[in-house]
Amino acid sequence: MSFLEKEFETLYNQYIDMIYRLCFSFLKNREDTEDAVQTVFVKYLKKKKRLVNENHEKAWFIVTASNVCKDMLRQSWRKHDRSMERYDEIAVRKDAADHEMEMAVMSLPDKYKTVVYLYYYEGYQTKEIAEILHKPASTIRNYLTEARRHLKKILGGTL
Amino acid sequence: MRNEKIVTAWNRLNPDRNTKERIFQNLRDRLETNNAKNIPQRTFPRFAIGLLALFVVLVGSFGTAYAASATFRDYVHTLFFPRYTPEEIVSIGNGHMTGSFDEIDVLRSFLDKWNRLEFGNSVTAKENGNHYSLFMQNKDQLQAFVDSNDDGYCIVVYIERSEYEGTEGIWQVTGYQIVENEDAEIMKNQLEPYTDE
Repeated sequence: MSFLEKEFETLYNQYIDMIYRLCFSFLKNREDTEDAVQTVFVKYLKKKKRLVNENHEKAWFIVTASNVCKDMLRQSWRKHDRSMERYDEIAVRKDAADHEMEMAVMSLPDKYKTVVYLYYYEGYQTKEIAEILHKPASTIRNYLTEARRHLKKILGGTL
Repeated sequence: MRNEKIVTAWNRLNPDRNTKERIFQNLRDRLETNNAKNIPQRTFPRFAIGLLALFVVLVGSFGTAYAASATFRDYVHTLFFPRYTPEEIVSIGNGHMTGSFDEIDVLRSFLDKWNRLEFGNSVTAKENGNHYSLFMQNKDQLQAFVDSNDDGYCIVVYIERSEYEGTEGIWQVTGYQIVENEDAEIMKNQLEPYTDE
């Protein structure tokens, strides 16, 4: 295995979980998610500019994964695939107790999903999220408020 | 601000080991296929073979025709070593001689040169050749009698017109002589005053 292949494998292992779970939350099925993950890594390899540090690299992967998924969802033939039945794939291998939260997260509107992920999972501040997504901080705060309202509605007031 | 419930929910979406390996393998295959597509073809392109065959056919045909046909050989030689008819050679010669399509221009140029280069030693054309009279032997042969600074002599200039393709003819100086004024008058009597019509 060449040095570049080793380097790529390290990078793959570092980010695969993050990219996969983010893509799955958008696409809700395994096949599309795997396609999206591959596309994200191919885009990374085709990029001419290298990223300056790990934080930038991570942010790039998050934003690119979200954009790739949104692009895939825009394709009309995929929209028909987005039925709730697809959630069953996850339920098969998960505990029923945590399934409710999972369903709530996945049912978030797409525009809130990345913001919720960055804020609640990765622990970024709203200002940092604004920089990553190139949106005003006030918009990010609004998205978070709406997302919380949405989650509370589904989970019955507990978050 | 991390939320444990959300973190747990999202962590449950993580891929299992098999999925990770499958994606990695698919990704490697995809990249290898892409790289293979980018490798330039090492086989000799078909169009080059076609061009080469055409070249061979053309060279063969040319060689056969050159060897078999004297007319073709002559034609090829004419392309590389142009041959001219005698008329064409005269025409080319005329084109390279000094001359003009205006007889007065030819005379004035000659007289200017006469004075500058002192063709007649001490006999020079008066006022740069402004004083002259033209007579003709026929419409293509003129004699100009030019006053000189030496009162006893005048300069006689012989001018002839040659045919030149596509024009009314080209005038050229063909000779000159210095004669005494009395002899000049005798010569004039044998000629007709020139009119350009």
